[in-house]
Amino acid sequence: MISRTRTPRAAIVAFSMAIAVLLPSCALFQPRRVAINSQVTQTLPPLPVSTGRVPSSSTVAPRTIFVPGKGGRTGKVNYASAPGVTAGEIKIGIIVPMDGPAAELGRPLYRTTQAYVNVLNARGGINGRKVRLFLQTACINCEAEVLLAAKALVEQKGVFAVVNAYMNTYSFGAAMKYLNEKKVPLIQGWTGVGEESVTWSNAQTPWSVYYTIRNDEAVGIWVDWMSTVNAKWQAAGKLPNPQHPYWVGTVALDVSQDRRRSIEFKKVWESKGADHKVVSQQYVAAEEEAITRMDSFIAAMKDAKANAVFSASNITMVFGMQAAARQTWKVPWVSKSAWGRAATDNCGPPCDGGYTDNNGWGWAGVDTPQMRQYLAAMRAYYPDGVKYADAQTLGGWIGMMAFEYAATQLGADLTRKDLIDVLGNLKGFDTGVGAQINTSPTDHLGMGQFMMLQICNNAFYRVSDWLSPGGAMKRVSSKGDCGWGY
Amino acid sequence: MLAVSLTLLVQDFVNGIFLGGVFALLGIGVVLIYKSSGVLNFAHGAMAMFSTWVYFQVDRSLGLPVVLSLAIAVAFGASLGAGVYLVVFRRMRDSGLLAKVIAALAIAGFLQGAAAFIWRNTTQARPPQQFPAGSLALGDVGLGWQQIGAVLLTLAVAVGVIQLVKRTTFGVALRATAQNRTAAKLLGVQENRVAATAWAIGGGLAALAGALVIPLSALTVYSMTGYMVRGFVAAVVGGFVSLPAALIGGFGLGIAQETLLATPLASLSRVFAGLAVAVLLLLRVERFFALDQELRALEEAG
Amino acid sequence: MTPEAAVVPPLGGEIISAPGPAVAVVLGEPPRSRRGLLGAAVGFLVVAAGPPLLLDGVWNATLALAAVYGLMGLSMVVLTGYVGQLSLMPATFVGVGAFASADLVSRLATPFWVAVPLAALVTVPVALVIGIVALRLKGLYLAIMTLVFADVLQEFLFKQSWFAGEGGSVDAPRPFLAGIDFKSDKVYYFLVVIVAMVFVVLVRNFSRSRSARACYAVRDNESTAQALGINVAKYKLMAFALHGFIAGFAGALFAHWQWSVSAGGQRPQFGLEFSLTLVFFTILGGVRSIWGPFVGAAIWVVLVQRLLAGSPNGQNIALSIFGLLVLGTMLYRPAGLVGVATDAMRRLRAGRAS
Repeated sequence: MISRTRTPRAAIVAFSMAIAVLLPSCALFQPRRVAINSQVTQTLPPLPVSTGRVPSSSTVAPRTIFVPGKGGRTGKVNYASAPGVTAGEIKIGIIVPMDGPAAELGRPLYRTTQAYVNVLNARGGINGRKVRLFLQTACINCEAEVLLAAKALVEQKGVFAVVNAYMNTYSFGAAMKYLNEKKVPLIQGWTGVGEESVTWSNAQTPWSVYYTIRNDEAVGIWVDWMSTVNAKWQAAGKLPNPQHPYWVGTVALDVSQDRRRSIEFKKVWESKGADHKVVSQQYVAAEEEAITRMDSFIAAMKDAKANAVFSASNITMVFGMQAAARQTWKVPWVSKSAWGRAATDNCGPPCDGGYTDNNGWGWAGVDTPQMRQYLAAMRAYYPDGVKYADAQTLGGWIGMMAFEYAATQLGADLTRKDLIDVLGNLKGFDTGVGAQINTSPTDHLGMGQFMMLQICNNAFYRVSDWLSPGGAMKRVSSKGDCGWGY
Repeated sequence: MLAVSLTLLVQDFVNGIFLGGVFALLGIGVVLIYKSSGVLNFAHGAMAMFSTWVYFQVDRSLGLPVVLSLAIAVAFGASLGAGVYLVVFRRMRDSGLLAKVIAALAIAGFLQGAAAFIWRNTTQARPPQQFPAGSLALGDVGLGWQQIGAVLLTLAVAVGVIQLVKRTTFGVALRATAQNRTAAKLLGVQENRVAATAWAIGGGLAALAGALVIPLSALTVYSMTGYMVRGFVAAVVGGFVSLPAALIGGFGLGIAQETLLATPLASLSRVFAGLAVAVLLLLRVERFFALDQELRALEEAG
Repeated sequence: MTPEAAVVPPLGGEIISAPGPAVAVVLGEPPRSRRGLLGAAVGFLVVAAGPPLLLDGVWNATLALAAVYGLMGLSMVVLTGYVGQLSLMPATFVGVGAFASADLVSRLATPFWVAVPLAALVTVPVALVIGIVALRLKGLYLAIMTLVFADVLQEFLFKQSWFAGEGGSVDAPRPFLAGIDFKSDKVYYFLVVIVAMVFVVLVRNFSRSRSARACYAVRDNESTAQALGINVAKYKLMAFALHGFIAGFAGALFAHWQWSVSAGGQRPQFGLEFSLTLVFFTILGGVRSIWGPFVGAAIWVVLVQRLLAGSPNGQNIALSIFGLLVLGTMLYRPAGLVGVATDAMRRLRAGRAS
């Protein structure tokens, strides 16, 4: 019997059956929304009066100290001035991974942003317009799905701007291109993108700002700090190879951004003098087994007589220091900013004494009214209290502060072009929780300073004020030196 | 730099033996599972990963001595293995290769998703080492105690399992099933019981492998995938039927792979497993190890 | 004329069905009925023109992605469904096609309309290399081999800047032809659907040819096929070549859909995860059916990814359900959703007839 089944029809039936099964199950399992207790806003403490010295990142009096809720225009506006902006509402969007292995990164950032929006709305919004946050989630490595998420935010939800999109550098490329093509402002308090890598230079992303330290400035500070530390260790007789105190090694993940950082470091280090040499550059393949080889990398650096190690990311520092401890090789380690909990959650004694920077965000050892406001909000919205107050979340907070500031300034005439014009031309903008921001058409990162931190007993300690390249590398606290002496 | 540094060579060699032990444990588990049920267990890495998370969690929540946590983790791995067989693969004994491979991959995906969900608020989880931190210095080379201990433990366990298969009734039943399923059934071998036991041993070995290596590495939901692939290569060395060959293959692969890093041919290290497998399969190495009956059974199943 | 083969499992009694009238027309056979032809034409129009006319840009982009993924799955149908060669590296070939097309258009100034087919052709030799290795390997070993070779290619191709660009990514701009700007999601959707339909017809055509019957014989029992005098090597290589071509074509369309293609950093974009996703949704849809991969891709893209993207917790659950569905498919209904639907419709028709 010859079958005359029409498989196209079968396909439609099959698809309908699938919908019939999947949709109700999703409805059935509809979980509680991420709980944001908006009543908490009433119980937030009032902003304390600032007492004592606030470490300001600006050597001259900053032109704008921004305290959320204080200053800026008030009064209502009554018309729609741009897509996503109406008389009563401003729509913004966020893209973060809420599931999968990167959920621990995405969820806190979403909650922080939502928390900021809640607090902002509780004090009346921006010039009478309430802010509404739309979430789109996509897996952290899914470039296609992230692009669809960006499109959904812009074209379906009609958002005015996108904030704090957390995706890894490599999977955000397509979405970033799209946002710039559509002229939608992107405000990345947190950055996984935009470090002057080849693909996303400022010229190609004029509609995006990132608010983190520029790589070329950071390199200068790392180099200067490591020089200072090595000199101190040399004076104390602690270097394994005292004949050549400025011989050092680098270790980086074998991915393009980290490699570049490593190479930059070598260039700047060796420009300091003939005695400054990078004698060993190790690259760790970005896979789990490679980490077991850290002992070999340490051995290689020992072999090459290195006296210190620069690590291009927190991962290589955490595992590198553990391996160095196993090999009983004690040298100074300086790393590109370590995201908060990585080093402190489980590293233990091997990581003691490691130096890392705060990326321009003051998430350790900074006490200002704005920082207290941030911590209060975090405490209100996180069951674990301030455990999630770290680099990502503070970076996201800074992004929102800049957004609130710029949007408030623009008043009724809030347009996308004006917003990015303000955000891309901030001068001396001091959020009180991060380095001063100075953006320009050629610099959409804006921060030129960071604070050095040191790890001790699974905690970060601030050991410097705001450092600038070419400036003094002054240690301001002996807490956190964990017996290293410096 | 053309000169090969001796220190580096020895250091890499030591790391190679250590990793090789892990590959061997996984390879032996894969062979046992394949022999007993005809399944190439693509979920082996995920099972190891999940058991290692359990090991981490037990250590963190209960604070027991490490040996006890390890024992619990291995027991969990064994139950997981047996469970996967009894729930899924027992029904698939007559299915073809594609079905079994896809099923195993689906289980792997499910385990990864479950682990991502259960431990989503944990960062940089670091399960404890079983052996003391620090290392034994031999000149310029540092041999980590974890590595030394792991290699000794791996050898002891592997040899134990091989002896188990050689001497016990279970082992005889296993070999009988692998050679000729129908005949074995006629002789009264209960293939489900044999398979569940083999899967349990495989799962336990996987848990042990994970617990030994991950303290020196990173614990994520993608951990152990790369190791699992290397375990397959070790199993291939024995043609999927010989346990001692898998043991030797695992160690050999580890040593070769890591030692290459200290030579000018370092870029080959990453793909060495691939090249090894290509060479082995093209040379039809399985013919060296399998008995005729086993080989025929293999070809029929494949 | 249907090879209503008494197919012994692996996949369990699935019947390869006869084509519908629309396709029969295209193949030069007289239409079975005017109603059937009309139905097919309407169906085609609905799928191709419906979304651009009725849905917004984002939905068009979503459905276009589903169609492209479906095409990737179609390449798997040819290799695994028709010839029974299990490859766990389809995403690698997709990646080769994607980068090839992006490189051709943005770095070698090739027009889009030349670059895309050329990229597909470029993927063929890569697939043939794997195919040659596959000649000596069966089932299990082939699967392991593809797993490992995906890694090898990742290392030696996707990490090389001459292929994958300086920062690990290459632009893939869309064309502009005769006043039509393909940057529009709706226009690109239309293009993708046309291409997908063409491939569906071609594969359908192939699946009813004599070569295909030899392929099925190889799939079902290689030694028997060899004994019958079939040149097993030739058909295996042909399968790999077709697989590479279709996957490469889909990859090229994918790259231009995305406006750029990136090799990924810490986790590869065209690595094991993507390959397994492709394998899974193709199996779910039905790996021996031409429409199977499209059904599976639609479920994956629309249901799992898009509809739940606005929900803080929804996607995780959808992913688990998806995994369970795939497992269930393998355990109970190896012919996939299309097979289930086919069975249901047949029973309905039989019920109606009696």
